[in-house]
Amino acid sequence: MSKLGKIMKIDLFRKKKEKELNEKKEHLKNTGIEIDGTPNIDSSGKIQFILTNALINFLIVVGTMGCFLNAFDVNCNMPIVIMGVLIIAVYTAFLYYNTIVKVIGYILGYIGFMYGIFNMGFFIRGGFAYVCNHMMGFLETEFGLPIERSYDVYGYTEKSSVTMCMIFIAFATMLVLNMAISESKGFAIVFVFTFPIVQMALYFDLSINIWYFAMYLAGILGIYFLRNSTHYHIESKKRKGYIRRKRKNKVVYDYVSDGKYSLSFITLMLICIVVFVLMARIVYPQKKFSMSTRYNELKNSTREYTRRMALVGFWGMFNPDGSAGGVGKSKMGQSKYIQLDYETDLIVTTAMENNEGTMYLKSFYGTFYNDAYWETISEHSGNIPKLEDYGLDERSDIECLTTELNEEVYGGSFLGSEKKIEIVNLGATSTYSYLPYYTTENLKNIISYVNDDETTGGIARYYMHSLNYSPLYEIYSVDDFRERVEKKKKESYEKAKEENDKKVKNLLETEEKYSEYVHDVYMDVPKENEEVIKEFCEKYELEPDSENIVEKLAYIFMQDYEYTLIPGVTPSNKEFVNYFLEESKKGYCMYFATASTLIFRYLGIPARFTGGYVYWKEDYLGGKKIENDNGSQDPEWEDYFDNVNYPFGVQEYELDDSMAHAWVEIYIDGFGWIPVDTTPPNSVDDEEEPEENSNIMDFFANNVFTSENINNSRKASARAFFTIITGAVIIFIMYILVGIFVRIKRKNSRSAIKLYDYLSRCILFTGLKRQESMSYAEYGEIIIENNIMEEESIALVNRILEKEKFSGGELENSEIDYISEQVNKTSEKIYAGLKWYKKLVYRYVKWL
Amino acid sequence: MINKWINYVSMVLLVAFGLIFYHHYALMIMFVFMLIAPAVSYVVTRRNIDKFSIKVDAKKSSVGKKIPVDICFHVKNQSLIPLEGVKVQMSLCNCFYENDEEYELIIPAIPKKTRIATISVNGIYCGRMIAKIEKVTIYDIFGLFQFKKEVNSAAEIYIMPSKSSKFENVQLSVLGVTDDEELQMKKGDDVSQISEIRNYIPGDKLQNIHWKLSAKNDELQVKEFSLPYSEEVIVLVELYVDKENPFIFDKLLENLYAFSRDLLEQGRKFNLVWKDNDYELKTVEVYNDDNLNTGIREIYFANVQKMNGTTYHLYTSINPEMKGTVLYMSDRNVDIKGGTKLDIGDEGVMMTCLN
Repeated sequence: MSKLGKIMKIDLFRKKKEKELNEKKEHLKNTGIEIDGTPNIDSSGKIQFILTNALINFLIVVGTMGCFLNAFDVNCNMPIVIMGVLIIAVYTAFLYYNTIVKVIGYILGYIGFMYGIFNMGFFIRGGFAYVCNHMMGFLETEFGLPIERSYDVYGYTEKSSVTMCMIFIAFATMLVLNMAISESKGFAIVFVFTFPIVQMALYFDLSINIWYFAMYLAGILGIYFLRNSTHYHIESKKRKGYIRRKRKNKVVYDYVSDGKYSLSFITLMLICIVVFVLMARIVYPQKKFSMSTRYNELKNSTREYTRRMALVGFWGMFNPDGSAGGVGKSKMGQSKYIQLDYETDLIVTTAMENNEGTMYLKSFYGTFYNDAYWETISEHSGNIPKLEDYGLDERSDIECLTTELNEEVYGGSFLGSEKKIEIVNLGATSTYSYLPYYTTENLKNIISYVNDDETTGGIARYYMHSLNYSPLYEIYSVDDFRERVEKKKKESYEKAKEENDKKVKNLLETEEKYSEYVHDVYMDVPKENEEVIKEFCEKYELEPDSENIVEKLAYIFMQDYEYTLIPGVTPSNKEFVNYFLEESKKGYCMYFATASTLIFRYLGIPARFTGGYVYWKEDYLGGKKIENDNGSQDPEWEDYFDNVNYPFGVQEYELDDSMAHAWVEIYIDGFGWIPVDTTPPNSVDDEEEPEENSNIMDFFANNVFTSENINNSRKASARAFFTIITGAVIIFIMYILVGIFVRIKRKNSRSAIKLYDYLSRCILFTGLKRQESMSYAEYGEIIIENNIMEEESIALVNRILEKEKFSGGELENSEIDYISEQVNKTSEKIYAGLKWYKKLVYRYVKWL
Repeated sequence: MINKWINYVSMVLLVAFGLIFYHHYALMIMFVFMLIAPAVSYVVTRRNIDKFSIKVDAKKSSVGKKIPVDICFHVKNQSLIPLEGVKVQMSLCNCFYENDEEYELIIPAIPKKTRIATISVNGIYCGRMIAKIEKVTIYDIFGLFQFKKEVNSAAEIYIMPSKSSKFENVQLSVLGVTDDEELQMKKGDDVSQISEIRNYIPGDKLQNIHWKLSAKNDELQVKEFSLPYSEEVIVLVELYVDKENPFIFDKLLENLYAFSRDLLEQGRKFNLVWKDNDYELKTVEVYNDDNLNTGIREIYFANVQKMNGTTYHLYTSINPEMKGTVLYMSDRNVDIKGGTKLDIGDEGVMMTCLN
């Protein structure tokens, strides 16, 4: 707010106050009646008020936890949790008993909380991990989410750690809820905090324990109706008595809050709900309950949003940053998660051979890695050798080089028979073509090459490419494959030399030229990654002459790295590959393929990043068999039916974005590029069966007071002590500062009535209490009788007070100064006569 | 009330939507409960309406000005159900002055208990303060239904003039009713001059205490002197409230009280006279503090005059000869023919000796 705005607001406020004061004076003058303050009620029931808050907090928290834990079948010792919650509910509610209790209570709560964090941190975290793992397991089943993450439970048993975790969560939650409940019966806050948890079970149609729900219902309806009641403002500061509202000629006194009423109301509500639920279960049991399913559409329409939320949290529902795994050509590490739509992107029709490997459909290559981005040759700004420099005039010379080598030089040893494939683009990016390994025909009519790693002319949406290819047989060892190729190449070369087979010699020479080109272009490792990759290779003993580098790397990733679709965003000050290799150690295929490409290059293997779609061998039977309408097989694929080479027949495979993938191509001299995959598979850890604990003593003996926990406690105690002391010192300093501020403000008040109130508080220490019905004169007599003030002084003070009270507060400065002087003088006099401990309370608790 | 219904209906709709969305048994329970509970509450409250009672009283019946007095509202609930609120509409006014403000007080009622809500009130003008319950509305536990309750209860508090006010500006001799002989008689201790001996009442002068008798009876005894007078003294009061300056009437009552006490201190018996209705003057004979207080309280029951000076005109028309000494106390706006205006040191109030 601007300075002018503030001044205007203050001015408006002052005018309003002046207007109210004038109206009050006028009314007093005309009627001769003044109502002193607001009404009081005999006993508002302070204790009952606190018990009501405790009961509401207890019902809501136990109800919420019970509904959740019961529905998701989390193993937990509920009687202990309920007992703990009850104690915490009473404790937190009593924080609002008075200011001293509040201050001490919060300090103790803080200490307890910190103690719990430091000494039982792993125990509690283990419990929380169990709950999370339960939830994720459920969501994986419900939505088929590939989350596959299980949190470490630190070896604790489920029942004990979840129980402790729930008590701890209850403590933190109840501190927050209690503020809303005790201060203002804040229905909205409580509802927003708790209902999302309760509704999870309802949303997934899980069976919940109706009694926990009844508890939640009693609590939430109780707070709702109390909030909705005639309580004008249910707030702790004015727990007792009334608040005044003025409407034209009507003065309304609303009771602020009444503990006795609130407790009787919430008790009645609980009894009514319990009776009602009991009757409902008898008259209309849950088994009989059914509703029209036509409303299911409403819920189903939310499932995709819920799925996204389950994947990445609330904002994931609205976050468009998700990208299809491996296919998106964008800066890496900027997407928090993979957004999968499971819509069909490509329909592939082909016949698989028995010994074929995984079917890859490559769409783009990354040649130069630069700042978390794979550049193509044309995108790169450096001086790059051209194919022409190596005597390779056209890209078409090497387009079908591998299949030609296989056919002409190696006698078909490495690839399968040529066969047909049809690819229909339904939802994939249309700028790419999706080509299998290895095409056998010139694709000039479909695509054109920009560079060695880039083509133009993809498959437009709803169009089909039909081409022939020879599949790569499954490679079990890259080194073995390389050796086989070298051997065959040597034999073929010698044979061709003997027979003077020019075609073979030309093919081999072309391959050698291209191999030279590949070794010059596809070996770039950015300087900023070199050090980290070097350390990585040293750590895992990977050297250029190591055997089975590809398989070793895949194994390293499988052992020490985590596959996840939710890797999080790479910090802006971190390099993508370095961060992945050194710190996060988790990611999806794009992460592994990128890092692998650079590692291979570092180890002297030409490699390039490749993206596209993949169809795993184990899913070959998952396609749809091609048949025509009358049941006979499609004549177009006639050659592939009843052929022993194609045991699965012709199948149509639907590839969605969950099959989008990134992998690495490495170059095998004498053969060409082959795909290698180092991305680890998803894994599911078997969870330990929980141990049962028969009773509370066993529970604590076996789980809380274990030697591991005690050791943890010792280790953490120094840190806990330091933190607690620091926290306590900060709180103490704040307390002193606030107290001094309050004292100065009180002493320097310019209101005679406030100064008199201050005086009354001081006099309370002499054992004299001013009754509410006492006039100033009557109280003044008592003050004189007890020799607290001089008769003249108190008489003058009273006269000034009456003037302020009954004449609208227009006092002169000298009058205020006089009262201030008298009050301070009296305060000092009272202080001087107190015992030492009362002096402490006087100065540093009451701040007088 | 409307807000509560809006809130309730919103909640019901929310739960209904929840039932449609989740179609879960638990939501069905909640929905049915939300529908049934208010209906049950209505029936139960209606059946128990006679078990609620409410009354108002004051802790003190008579207080001085500017001294707070508590007005208490007793809400008794003999039923087993708590009541969300008992709304009490009351009026509060001084009998001489109007107060068009309405007061509304909401008191929760708990089962089998009596709750007492207290309002502390200051009267800054003399008079009879009346707190009356005008209307009582009872709300059910959810605050959705209201029931009217007939209640006829009121509390009265007398705001008495200040005893500390002095009235020293009028010389008794000016009134023509004092002579030295009579004063001498009053001051003497001849028992023949004592008309009565009675028990001590707080406020009695210390010099009037009969110490010997008190010692003998072991209880304070006070001598009541016979009041010598040569002729009748009448104090005629004009009960007119100027709405523009209502405080003048309060000053008049203060002066009347102070003057009356002054007369009593001088041993003067007098008659307090005021106009009670259109054609009647009311008289109270005053010869001690008790009579004076009674007189003042009776004045508090009188109807104030709509026109200024009507008391004066009525009195002069009924008593044209004006026996004794007639002292007329009014505000300064009354047009009086003849008589002697006495300076009583107050700008708003005047006293006139009519004969």
